[in-house]
Amino acid sequence: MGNPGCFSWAGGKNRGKMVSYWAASATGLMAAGRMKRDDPMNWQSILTWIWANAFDPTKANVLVALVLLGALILYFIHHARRGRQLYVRPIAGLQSVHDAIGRATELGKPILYVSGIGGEGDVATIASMNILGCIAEKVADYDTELRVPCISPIVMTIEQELVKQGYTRAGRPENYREDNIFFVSDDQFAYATAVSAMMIREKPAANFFMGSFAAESLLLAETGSSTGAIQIAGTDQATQIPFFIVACDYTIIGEELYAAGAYLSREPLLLGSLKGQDITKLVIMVAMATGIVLVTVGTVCNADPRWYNWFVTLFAV
Amino acid sequence: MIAPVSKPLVFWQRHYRHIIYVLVFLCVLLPMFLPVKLRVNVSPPTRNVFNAVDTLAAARHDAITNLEAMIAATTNRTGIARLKERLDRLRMNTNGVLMLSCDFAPDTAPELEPMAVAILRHAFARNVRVLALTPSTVTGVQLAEKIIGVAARQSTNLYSARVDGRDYLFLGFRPNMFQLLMAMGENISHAYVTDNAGRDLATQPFMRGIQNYNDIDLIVSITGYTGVPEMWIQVAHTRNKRPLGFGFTAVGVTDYYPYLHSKQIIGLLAGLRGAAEYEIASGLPDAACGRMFSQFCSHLLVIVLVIVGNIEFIYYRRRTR
Amino acid sequence: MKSGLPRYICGICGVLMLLQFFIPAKFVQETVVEWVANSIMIVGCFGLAIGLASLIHSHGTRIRRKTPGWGFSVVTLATAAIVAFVGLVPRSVTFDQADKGVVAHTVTTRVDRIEYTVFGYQPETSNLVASAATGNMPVQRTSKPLFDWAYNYMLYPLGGTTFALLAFYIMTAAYRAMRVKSWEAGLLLSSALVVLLGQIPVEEFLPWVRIHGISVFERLKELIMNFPNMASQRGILIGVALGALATSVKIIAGIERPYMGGRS
Repeated sequence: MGNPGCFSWAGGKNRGKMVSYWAASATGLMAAGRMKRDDPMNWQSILTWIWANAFDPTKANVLVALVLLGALILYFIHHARRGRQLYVRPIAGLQSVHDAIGRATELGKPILYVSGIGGEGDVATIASMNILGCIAEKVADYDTELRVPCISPIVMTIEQELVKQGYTRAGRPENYREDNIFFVSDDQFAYATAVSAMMIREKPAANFFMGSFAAESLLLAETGSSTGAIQIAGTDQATQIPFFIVACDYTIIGEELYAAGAYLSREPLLLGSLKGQDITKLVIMVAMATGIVLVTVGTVCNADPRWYNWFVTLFAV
Repeated sequence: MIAPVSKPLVFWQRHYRHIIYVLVFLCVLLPMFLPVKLRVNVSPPTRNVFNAVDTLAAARHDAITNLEAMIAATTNRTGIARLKERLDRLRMNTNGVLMLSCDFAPDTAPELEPMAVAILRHAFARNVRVLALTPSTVTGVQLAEKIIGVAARQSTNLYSARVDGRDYLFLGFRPNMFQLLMAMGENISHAYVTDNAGRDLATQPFMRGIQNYNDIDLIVSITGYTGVPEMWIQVAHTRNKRPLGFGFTAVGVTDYYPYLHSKQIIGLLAGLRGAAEYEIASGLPDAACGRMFSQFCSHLLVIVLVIVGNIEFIYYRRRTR
Repeated sequence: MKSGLPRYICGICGVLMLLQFFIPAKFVQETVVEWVANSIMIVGCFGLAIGLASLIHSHGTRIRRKTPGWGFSVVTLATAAIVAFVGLVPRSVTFDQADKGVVAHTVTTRVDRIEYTVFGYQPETSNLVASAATGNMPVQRTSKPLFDWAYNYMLYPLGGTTFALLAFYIMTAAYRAMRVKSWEAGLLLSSALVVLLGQIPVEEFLPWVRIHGISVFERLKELIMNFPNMASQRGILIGVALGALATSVKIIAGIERPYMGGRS
């Protein structure tokens, strides 16, 4: 793919910029574009340039929020590392994961794990991979077959590694079958049709639908329901949750999916980040409540908008 | 549950799925043969998208005026040169430029294709230049081509010829949508390099006035995939501050009302009804309006089934007591 | 080094991409971002190659072992090969079916002729370029290679059919699930009925529900969508966004490493 901008420093019509880059090397990487050959090259202009280009002041509130919330999460992770026990409320869907795996083992049938249609950058897919790792460890112990059809080849390679690591941690690396984690199709409905056909042919005893789903959620869940499998589903897509609730035995809603990895593994780091998430949620709720009260009181009392708008504009992007 | 006593109820319990499937089939198919026209009120979210497309020329004119004022107020030489360059590009398309992202594949085409055709026809009627693309799905490329061809032919019949390379350009698909959208924020020609027909964008006359999102007056994304609108909002609205409108399938449109109310998007077309509303607003009822009676009958069937289900539920609950 | 290097690369790249949001410098916003975006697109293309290899391997294994349903694997691989071949080979063979493919174009009084070719991919939009460029030409040739045929007559109807299955499933799910088992379920049911009635033009058949030209159900539907629905969607959005933030922080900090088999 041609990209003249990337190679502009190599020469051609942008050769002037190349000269000015090196001339302003005191400022490191940031010399580009706006400094032309005829601008005065002194410390004042360089500092002015840095001040104008190093940071966008309209995004200061985003940076502050990011640093604060990120620091809260890291603080609780650090806290959890010191060995403090953290409580997580029971989540029905996750408590039944062990039952589902046990049922599949008793019946001698495979377990089907569907990690959704999201890509490797999707947070729900990452959360699903955490759950897959925990389930793989348990399944390795019982020597039950675990089938993982994937919609993305990159997700497939990551999940192959995850399942392999799970089997290794359980002390059963010889039971790992790479063929069980495979790519199906990157088309949404081709994938759904293939997985549905797999459910009808192989009749897995337990189906896990964890990740990001779209319209194919009901297709998968209804097909699985018709085969008599126990079904546990979890997604952060609010529009698909009703379909899973109707057709599955247990449903994990929204952020419970992100908590699932921590819940199943009970790892202090993951539990700590969960606690950090909850505290940041509390901070946001307090901020929202403060804003609502300020704006409501200000509007009702006909106060000068400047008295309450400042708080609202703190959160404007 | 206590077993039913009468034969019809036994039959219903055993075969309710099949009966419902047949009823759905009939409720969707038969109304298509009946010439019933239903009145559809245009909702405010749809009206906003319509008005935005309708007034693209005015929006472009405002942008040119604002930029001229900015140039007059700027003293920085480099800044003036950059702004003048942008002003020259804006002046090349005084009727406005619409970026239409057809982020859907054949599966959601029955719901979203009428939306795309209606918006394209409207844009062509206003002599707006259209830059079409399918950044999210490769299986949508030929579908989008077909849609553009249909809209161009219809506009040719109604107004005057709409020509590829002059009035519209179809860029096609490139992988990794988010990175593509980010790259288009800098330079669309560098991000895509060639259009869907293989022509070099750097030499296309159409692209002379279009470098990045700043030269686009309105971006409309029509999609059935969750996650796609969020990408457009992150890139086109938050980073580049461009007006954004969406068309989404009815099943997932409720997710995007928060963005509508926080004014991150200017309007929202909801499913087949949204398409019908747009057709009514533009004065050309077409495929979507023709399917509204089918939708009406199937909605009624859902209501009837829910009522029947609750009657059955209450009946059995009373028997157990 | 084996476990440290990917962690450092991930952390450094994560921090750089985070910082680029805040730095308005032209070098960062244009050159760096464009380079990163192009690199990811190139890596994504290689990902497709991995997927193809996995597809061939898994179906090939099924065919070799003659597992139940191996015939479908043959069909899958054969179809993938044929469509890829037909689309990739340049167009060189044409079959002129002038007698069969003539369509009269009423407005411009121009005759369209459709040729059915075997190979290549013919973008439909370029046909109009040909007709505009040679405006006096009486015949417009449209070629429909087999690739387009496969798309229009196989993929398009199959995709629509699969999506249409949902309508049937939703009906049975609605019948089974929407029962007034408690007052909350009753509330959910009544809102669902109001929204359904608001979607359809009930006032055409029941004029008494109309208030100022709009049905009362439509107004109630707007009310439900704009207030309780939006409030709950915002709540879920905030929760999901926080989960995404926490996961991103953990990945950038190297606490969670899904790219290396999961655990820290």
